[in-house]
Amino acid sequence: MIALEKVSAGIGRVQILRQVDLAVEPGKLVLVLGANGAGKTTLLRVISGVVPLWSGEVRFAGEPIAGRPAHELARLGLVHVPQGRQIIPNLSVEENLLIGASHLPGIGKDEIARRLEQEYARFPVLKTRRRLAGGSLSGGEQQMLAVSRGLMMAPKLIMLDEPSLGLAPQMVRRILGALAGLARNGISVLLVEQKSMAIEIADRVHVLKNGAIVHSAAAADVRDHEELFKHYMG
Amino acid sequence: MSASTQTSPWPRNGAYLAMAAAIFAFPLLVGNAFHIHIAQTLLYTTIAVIGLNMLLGLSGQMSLGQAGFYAIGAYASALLTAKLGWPIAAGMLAGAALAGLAGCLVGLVALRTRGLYLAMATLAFGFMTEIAAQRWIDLTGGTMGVYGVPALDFGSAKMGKTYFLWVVGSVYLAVQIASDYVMSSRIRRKLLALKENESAARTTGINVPLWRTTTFAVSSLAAGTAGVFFTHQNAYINSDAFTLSLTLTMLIATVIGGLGASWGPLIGTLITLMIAELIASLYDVSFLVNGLILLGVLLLFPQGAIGLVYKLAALFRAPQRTGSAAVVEAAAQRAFTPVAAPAASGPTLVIENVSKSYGGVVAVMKVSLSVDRGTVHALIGPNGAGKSTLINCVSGLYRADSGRIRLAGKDVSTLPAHARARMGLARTFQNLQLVNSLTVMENLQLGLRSRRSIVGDFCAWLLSDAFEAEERGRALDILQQLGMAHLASAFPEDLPYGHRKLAELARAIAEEPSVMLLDEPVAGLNDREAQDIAGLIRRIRDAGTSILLVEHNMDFVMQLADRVTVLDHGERIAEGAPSEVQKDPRVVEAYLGAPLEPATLAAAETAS
Repeated sequence: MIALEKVSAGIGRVQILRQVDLAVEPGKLVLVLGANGAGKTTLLRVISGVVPLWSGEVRFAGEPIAGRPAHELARLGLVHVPQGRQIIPNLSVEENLLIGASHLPGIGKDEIARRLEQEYARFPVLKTRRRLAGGSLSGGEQQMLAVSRGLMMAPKLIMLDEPSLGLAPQMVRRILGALAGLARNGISVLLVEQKSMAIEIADRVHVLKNGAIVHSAAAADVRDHEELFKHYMG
Repeated sequence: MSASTQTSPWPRNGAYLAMAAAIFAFPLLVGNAFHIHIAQTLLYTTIAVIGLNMLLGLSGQMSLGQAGFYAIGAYASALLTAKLGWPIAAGMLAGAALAGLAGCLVGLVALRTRGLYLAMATLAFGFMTEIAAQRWIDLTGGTMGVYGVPALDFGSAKMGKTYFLWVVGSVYLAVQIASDYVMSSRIRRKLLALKENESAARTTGINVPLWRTTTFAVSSLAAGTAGVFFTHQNAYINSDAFTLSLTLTMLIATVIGGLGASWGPLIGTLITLMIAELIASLYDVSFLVNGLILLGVLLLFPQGAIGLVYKLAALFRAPQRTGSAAVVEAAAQRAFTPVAAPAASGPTLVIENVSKSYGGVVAVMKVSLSVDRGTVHALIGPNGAGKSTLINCVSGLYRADSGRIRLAGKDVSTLPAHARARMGLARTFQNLQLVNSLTVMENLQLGLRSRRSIVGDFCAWLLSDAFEAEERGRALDILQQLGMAHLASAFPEDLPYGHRKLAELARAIAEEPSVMLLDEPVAGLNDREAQDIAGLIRRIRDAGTSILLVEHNMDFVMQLADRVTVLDHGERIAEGAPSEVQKDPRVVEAYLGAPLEPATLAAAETAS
């Protein structure tokens, strides 16, 4: 679905990513683990075009996408749920969701209503809160809303930046459970995290350190999380 | 610009001496009365612009009423000297003081407003003084003006203009030095904090209303000072001089020079006055031309003339690495010891039956807990349980609807946040409250309690090449402990979430608190970093600080907490030792949940 080849990038004059190779197959959930400052957020921003590519190539569904504006990528089916959720606090939950779909060309009212119901089925709590202001939701509910808003665009690939941040353990489980469900339903997921818990739901795990991928493995082969962390996260 | 590098004060002081020499020599060399007059106008207008620059550039308050304060100073001095026969010096002092007083009053009223509304309120004030000047003819003479105002010529028709220039120049230089001190000292940090992030300002002990009013009064004093000079330069005033266009000229000069830049006002005023002289013949369209110039500057050089100079200078300088290795190593050699909290008997922090609701929705319901000296009390519960609301009530950002909060035995329930902060209460925020235009180091310095008086601080700035070196050393020690010394001169916005979180923790530590409220200190950190922070918090606790901790990382909470309180839907559902709470079935159900097993995942999947 998406393939990065020898991607290098940085902000200003400071290089952050070094020769990153990474691929997400259709319907797979790929996890990138890394400590603060490893370059996880920059990685997602390079893919979504917010941070310019220095060298290498990013292909989405076989097409090079470097330099395309974010709204065009969203129409192609690539959705980025950034860190910190970015809910619009003064709009209602439903309005926040509709923002996700309403500007897409060629989708009818019925389709939007169908997607809305689909998201309410995924996270029933959002339905009970549909009229409330987005800003009044708890952290976990806001994260659900952010994920659902991304899914309203019916993406082929969804990228999430530390969705577990600041969430109660029980809530982390629900979000991760929903992400696992997405992959099973054919949506590719690129998840960036620093909590080892996410390995449970991943198909493949990469460890990012100082902007380079230093370890890659099938998630099933990662037996000892402690060991992985000891080696790579310090 | 960054305060994290040590600089010698002598190049700067050399610039002052050169400026003093230039002011002294100018009238002797030029000798042309018209040019001396222009130089006088430049210098006293710059005084007013410096005041506006501080108000707008540092504290972020927009005033469209500066001409009003200028007029108050001008008329007061004119009337006192012409009608009541006061000596010129006394009239001038009284005029400037009156303008400052008026600024204080307007500033107090303006406390209730921000941004656009503040601009509107001050615009209204400007119009009111303009109309009073025009229509209150018995007092001001309206467009006919006030006659018989004595000129400040020191009894010498020949040298009077020269002496006047020297006096204005001396006052200007003093104001310039004061403004430079403000812009490179803790006052700058405080003003930027209250401009950008009031929560951060209040919880680090800054009395926001007082500072807002003071900056307003100071900028009005500066405008009034310019006004009195204007009066006695011309020995005649009428209402035409104090229109909105005067305010706009000062604003344009501030922006053209570069908002918040030290030499910006002088350069901006110089450019503006030169333009005014050049287009004086185009009287009808001068407003239009001024507007176009302002627009052009905003589009081409948003940082103003000074910004342009810095940009050009940067082209010729090698890029700087953030945080020099030498500085980092120097810090590594000093051991960090948390400052011992004062000894006290009984609990340091007591929360009694605190309730808080927002528009009918109960967020916190009759919650009580107490934290003993040198212990960690954890507050856990689902998202939305009311934990952050409770922390906000304790730190004073919210006023609890009912209940009491006691710090070291003293009831602080009605005290504002900054007063609680000064009593030794420090906090971090879940959603990060750093001042983004200050570096990490400067954010920390915001938390440090200065050990010098304002006079001592000024002298150190003026004369010492180790200004604030001791404070920076203390700040660096703390950063070192958090593994962040190399990020000291980075700006918060450029850091990943976890590091911003740590910068906030560092600021709280810098306050040397007796009680610390930590709202999710390890959110966004990995397990290993969390371990490091746990070690640090233990050391702070062992030094006697009481800690109230909100955190979702259960391993972290369970190893660190002496006691745990569990909130759900705003109410306390359990309290006890960590091991007891962990087993409580209500807590497991409401919060901890079952472990992540394949069965749970399968259930979640079918639900989706």
